[in-house]
Amino acid sequence: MNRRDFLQRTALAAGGLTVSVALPWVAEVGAAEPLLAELADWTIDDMWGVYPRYAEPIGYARPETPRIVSAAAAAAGSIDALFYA
Amino acid sequence: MAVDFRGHPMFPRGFNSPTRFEADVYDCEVWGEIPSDIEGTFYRVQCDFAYPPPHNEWMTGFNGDGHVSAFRFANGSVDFKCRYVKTDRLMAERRARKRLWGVYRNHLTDDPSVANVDRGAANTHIYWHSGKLLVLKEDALPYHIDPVTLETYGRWDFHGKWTADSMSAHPKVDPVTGEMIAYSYQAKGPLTDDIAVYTISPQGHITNEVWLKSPYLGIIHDIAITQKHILIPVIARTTSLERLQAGEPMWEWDGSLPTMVGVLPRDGDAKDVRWFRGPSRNTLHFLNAVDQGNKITMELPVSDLERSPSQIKRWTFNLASKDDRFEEDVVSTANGVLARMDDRYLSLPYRYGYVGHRDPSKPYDTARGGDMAGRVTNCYQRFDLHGGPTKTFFVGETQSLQECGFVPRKGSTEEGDGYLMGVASNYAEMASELHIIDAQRLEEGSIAVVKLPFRLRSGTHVNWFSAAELAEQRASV
Repeated sequence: MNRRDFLQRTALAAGGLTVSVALPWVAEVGAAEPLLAELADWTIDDMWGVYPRYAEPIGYARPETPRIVSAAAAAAGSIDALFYA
Repeated sequence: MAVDFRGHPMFPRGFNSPTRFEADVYDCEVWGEIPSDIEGTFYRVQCDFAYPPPHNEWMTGFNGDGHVSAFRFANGSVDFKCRYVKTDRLMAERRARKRLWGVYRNHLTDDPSVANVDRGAANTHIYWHSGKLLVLKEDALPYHIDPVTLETYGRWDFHGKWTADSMSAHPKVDPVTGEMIAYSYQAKGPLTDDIAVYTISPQGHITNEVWLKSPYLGIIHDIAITQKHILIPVIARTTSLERLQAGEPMWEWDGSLPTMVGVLPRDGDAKDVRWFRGPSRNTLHFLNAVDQGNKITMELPVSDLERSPSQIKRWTFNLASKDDRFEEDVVSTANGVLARMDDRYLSLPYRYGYVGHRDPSKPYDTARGGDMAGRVTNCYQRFDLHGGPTKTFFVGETQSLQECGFVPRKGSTEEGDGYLMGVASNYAEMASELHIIDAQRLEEGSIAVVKLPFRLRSGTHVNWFSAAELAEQRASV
């Protein structure tokens, strides 16, 4: 059994046993639900518990595309138009 | 050979690729109005890789070079500055023009040419004490930098009196006495089971030093203090020589080990420490602790397993009981691991905690922000230990929040009267922004947002120091 299998099995075993003792004045406390789907995705950065992970490879939201100069901008007569060509 | 990050799985072109620059922005763009009673500097630390680290499964984003940002507030305006900490480690890399350091806290994986060079990366936390701004990493001595220019003066050893091998990144400053309680673990070098605890006067002199043995070789990333005690939790993330020799990073989770918490009287010696035990728990950062007669209570973010959602819990230590087990109760379901408070109440009875919170039910705009839904820290929460309602700040549909800091309102003494500040990564704009929020009205949104024209990588820790604090301590030392 490798490390990730072990973690998943441990989580499955403990998930139903997790007990939280709620203080009477806490209204919204519930038992912790392990994120089983994410356990298979373990990396060392998970020891810090921060989201997104420090090493999360976060790419650009949109693909980089060639710059398109609008017709309106080109026709505006701006000195910048000299550089559009 | 020139620097080339291409092909490194941790650094695609995008938000978390290394920034590697140092910058000054005078009079930052601000959306909204910065309250005139905010005067001081918000400091943060990030890991910024000057050179590509090794490609292996043990890569961690927490193994980069220390890089400090400062947002300096005065008269409703803010100036920004960021600088690398010029550690021996970074300067050795710059001379070699390549990465010389191996995996996280494993000196056996370093380039042999740096066997005698300090490994300190100064990449974790930042503290102002006794007239010095110190940047910390737990396996080395701190670096002393200038609070205004951020230029590096060098390593700081407390007038040559610091005897341990390292200083942790989470000392505590007592708001009543002005003392700093600092410590070292693996205090005689890697894999040693020694703990050294120091009391440092407001003038920066060591006034007390206690050496202890750790019950096992676990991580001691943070401590807590009360007015009478120092709490030293040892967590079930352990290590061994075999592990380091295999080329792995320092820590491996071992859920078979208990959580051990040493309770040391602040005026005591090694013989006075009492070790309490509890179930294996994953936690690194602690919120606060308070003396309650014969009991000590401590609040902290905790995960029951290595990677289950964190909750805010209370651990109670009964000094009058012969039972060495501590009790555990849930205080809040806020699932962030970086909880902060109004530090004027550290070690004292208090009411509020502030924590980043990941709420997948809040909207996320994948069209503009990319595929980050469910993986962003999109809220700050204020939870009330007196039972009042939890208040929530939602940052927006394309952002993720980093650790927040509490900024007291100038002239106020009441707990919680002030602001929260925290940097958000805006994935739609590929830029970072600092949010300023009324700490008593989180639900009303940001009062002001400082817009940077570039991105900052994920940060580690933050701290706020008022202009008065910075001036007063400098004058008194």
